[in-house]
Amino acid sequence: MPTGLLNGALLGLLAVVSALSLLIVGNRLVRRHRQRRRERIVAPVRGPLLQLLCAEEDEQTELLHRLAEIDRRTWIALEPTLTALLGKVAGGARTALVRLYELRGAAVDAVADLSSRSAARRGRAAQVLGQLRHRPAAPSLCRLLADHDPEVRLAAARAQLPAHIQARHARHPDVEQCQVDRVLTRGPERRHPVLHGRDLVTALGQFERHQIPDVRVVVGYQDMSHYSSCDSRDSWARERR
Amino acid sequence: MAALRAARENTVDLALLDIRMPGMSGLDVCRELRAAARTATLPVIMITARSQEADVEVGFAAGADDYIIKPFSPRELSSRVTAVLNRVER
Repeated sequence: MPTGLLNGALLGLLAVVSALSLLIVGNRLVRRHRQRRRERIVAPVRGPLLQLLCAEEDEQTELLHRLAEIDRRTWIALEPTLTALLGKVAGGARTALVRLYELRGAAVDAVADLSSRSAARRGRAAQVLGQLRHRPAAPSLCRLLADHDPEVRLAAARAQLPAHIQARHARHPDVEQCQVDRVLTRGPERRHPVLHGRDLVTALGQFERHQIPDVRVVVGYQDMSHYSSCDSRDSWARERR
Repeated sequence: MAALRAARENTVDLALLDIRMPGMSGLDVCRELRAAARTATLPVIMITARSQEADVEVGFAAGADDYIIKPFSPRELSSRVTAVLNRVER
């Protein structure tokens, strides 16, 4: 091979590696900058939020109104933290967070976002509505089971699991999430969000005898599209367990 | 890693560790804390979504003083922190 060609190839390779390195470093810097900016914006409301989570019921009202009135920029920066907290806290703290979302009108915004052109926004909206257990959104979430984006389908399916299964699902992340992801993400891309036909029969055969009852329920949900209301799905889940 | 460094360089009353953390797991951090003389007796509470008996046993075997399962009540967490700190003071 001529030396000139070899040198050119090496220089080209070096340029590609350098460009990729710069891209990775740049991406990390931007991400870190955004994270710090978000922390800076959220800092003044972290205290009241923690107070709200630990407050007695009669002490919550003032804190709730204070947090519900924060400006849009702060709310956008705070929302990922709130969404994460919804899945982590229980009892009065969870109730307070749900009330905060209601006061802010964020559930209504999330329902609107289910029709967004952005897959990320649709998925995030499904996640929020599922964690809020927002029943009026159930029909819209059912439609998202046929979304063209597999991540959105997954978020929509998880959002429709009954509360007690969502909680247990969160407690067995390594086992159950693996099972849910495995079944849901194998569905054909276009119409059917989940397994069907022979694949579904095979999957059910594999999982119906699973040692964790909730896995059996979760897997059974793949065939639940004909159940239109949450109540009928809940009763179906109870029967199955 | 930053939390471990902070615990080694500063005076800390108690460590709250999630098992799933970026970099090092809470279990590894707990073992590291127990292995170092300066932090060997530091009270540690684990917070995790793992609720099976074996997971809890692993948490306590790593040296945790208490184990809280998500979803948890922040008020319960506060009570447990107080209880662990009171035990240490005695």
